[in-house]
Amino acid sequence: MVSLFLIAVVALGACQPNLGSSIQGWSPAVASGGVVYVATQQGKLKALIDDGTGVVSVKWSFPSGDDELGGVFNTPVVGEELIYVAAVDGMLYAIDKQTGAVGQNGWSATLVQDSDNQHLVSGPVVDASESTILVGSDDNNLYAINADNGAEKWRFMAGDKIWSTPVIANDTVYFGSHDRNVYALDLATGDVKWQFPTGGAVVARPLVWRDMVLIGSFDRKFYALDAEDGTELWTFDDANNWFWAGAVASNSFVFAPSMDGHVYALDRVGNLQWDYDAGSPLVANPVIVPRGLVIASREGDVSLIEITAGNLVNQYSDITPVEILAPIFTPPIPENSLSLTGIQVGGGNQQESVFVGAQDGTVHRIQAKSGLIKVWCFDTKEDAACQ
Amino acid sequence: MEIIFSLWNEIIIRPMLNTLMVLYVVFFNNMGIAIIVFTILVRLITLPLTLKQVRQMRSMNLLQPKMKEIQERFKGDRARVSQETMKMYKEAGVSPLGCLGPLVVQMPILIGLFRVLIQTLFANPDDLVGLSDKLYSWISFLPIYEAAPLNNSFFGMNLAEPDPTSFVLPILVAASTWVQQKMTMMPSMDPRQQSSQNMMLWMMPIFLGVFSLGWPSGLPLYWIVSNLIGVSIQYFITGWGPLFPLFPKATPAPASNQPSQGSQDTTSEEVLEDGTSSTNRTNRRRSRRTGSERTRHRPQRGRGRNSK
Repeated sequence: MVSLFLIAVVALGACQPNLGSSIQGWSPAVASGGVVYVATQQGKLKALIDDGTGVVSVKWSFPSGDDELGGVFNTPVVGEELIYVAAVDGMLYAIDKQTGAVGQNGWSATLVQDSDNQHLVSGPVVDASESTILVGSDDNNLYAINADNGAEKWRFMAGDKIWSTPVIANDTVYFGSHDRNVYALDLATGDVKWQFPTGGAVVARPLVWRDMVLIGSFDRKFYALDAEDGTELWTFDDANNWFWAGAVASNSFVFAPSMDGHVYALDRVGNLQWDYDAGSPLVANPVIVPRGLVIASREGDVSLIEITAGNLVNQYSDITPVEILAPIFTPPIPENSLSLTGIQVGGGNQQESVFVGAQDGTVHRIQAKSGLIKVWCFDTKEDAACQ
Repeated sequence: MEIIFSLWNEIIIRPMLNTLMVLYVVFFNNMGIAIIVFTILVRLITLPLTLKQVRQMRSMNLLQPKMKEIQERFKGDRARVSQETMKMYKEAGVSPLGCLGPLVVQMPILIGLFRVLIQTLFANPDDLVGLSDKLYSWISFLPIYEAAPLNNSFFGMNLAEPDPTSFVLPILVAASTWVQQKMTMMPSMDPRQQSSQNMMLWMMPIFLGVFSLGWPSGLPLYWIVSNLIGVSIQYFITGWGPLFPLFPKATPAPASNQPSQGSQDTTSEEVLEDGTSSTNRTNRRRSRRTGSERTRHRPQRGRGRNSK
């Protein structure tokens, strides 16, 4: 009897989906030039043709056949000819945007070994001239890779894993690490300009705004550091849980999303202006659209919030109860459009939309022009439109 | 369903997970020590249940000769056999489901433990995101939020990954499981039961050993510590029991073997005394009869109690 009981317990334990490595990644989406690139839970990167009519079709799928990336946690970066993807399998891929293959223009580089239980969780970032691509890894290194051929330029070893997606500003790379530090490195050499210790792991993407580096930590504090020398300018410590997602900023405020479900609007000296309770943890990076701030909560609600007072403008709940973890995306919006009155028009029909990937494998294009209205929904598992 | 999930989360998962996190912070951010102390705590909390279970199983076993007698006496009359059996249980103060109760209570604890260990040991984004909303925000006196992601290094192992040697932990899991099972094995009059016990004695350790090859090392560590505690508890209740000699030279026929006689001797006492005391006394008397070797291995504490 005891033995049968133990077998049952062991079997139940062993059948848990997370026992062993079964990392699938999230579902990040990125849009550019009438194409939406989405990483799927089946380990593919798919290019979806979004011609503005609401009918979506698959242009290509990478890798082809039965091969797979293993999953992607952060948004791919779209370059002139290539799209760069950091995958769970430890590889950094540069894929031809037209053909969906590495081909002659692209390349792939093995940075860490999936077999060693090491992955690329950090998203890549490309410098302005698209000559260097940077990505953090589970082997504690930040890699600087030649964007032309995938060769390593330099690497910097932190004290622990790097899940934070780096940010480049003023020839400096900023990122956080599990070793609790925020780092600033010289883009050309990888030399440390400064490092700042926080009280917890730092996995969020930094934001460089008004000569400050703004970043939250697992110590439940949100830091403003001098971008030049890393000195602490102010901290916000009213949050009740980790800061995972990166902050975004409008002209006046910075918006810090926390795992306590709140997004905190702070002014340039760290005073709280308002906070909005989304009801469940905020893992996805928020985005700013002309109408306001768009956040996606873990339980699947996408909310449009007025920037000045933090009031809810509209909510899109078609995704519930599926989780949203991946960063949500909006195509770049010119600085002068970030006002409540200036609604962005033109520049391709994608510019007024946000793109949200959910954990059920669906990707949603939601128009954020007059509230939040679904433009289309596409199921990447079935390669078909979803309801 | 949502209510059940919520209750499961609040009653089992969150208390266990936060306890493990507190232990991790208290014991020098060392996950290995935290797991060991956590296992000891869980075994201490479930000790009354474990003791009750051991005693109930022993009592049930001691009633087997009488049960066989009933079966032979009322052969063909199943209703009467059932009636007489229940009467016998009642007189002996034993509940046939008595040993199941503690198992049922322990089951969610063990399943919860697996979940908690998996959630805390793995440091992939999915597990970490799931961990955040299970932490108690009122534990402000210790930096449990700041502790994540946990440092899984312990004696050169990564507790989130399988044993790098591929044999040390699986062998320890199998060996400790075998020892514990061997100690709790009760001699049975029923050859079929004896045979199934023997089969499980080997099947379980092999099964667990093979399974643990792919487990993150933290789980085998929990299992080994838990087994060692189980062995200690069993030792203090019954001594080494049937563990020694490890491999008896010959197995006597069930009807004539000594333990069975011992069991028969005590059956009459069973009715007069409560299950616990009769069980212990029977075991001690049997131990003396079965030879000096077993007596040598008896614990001092047990002998002291017996002499009173």
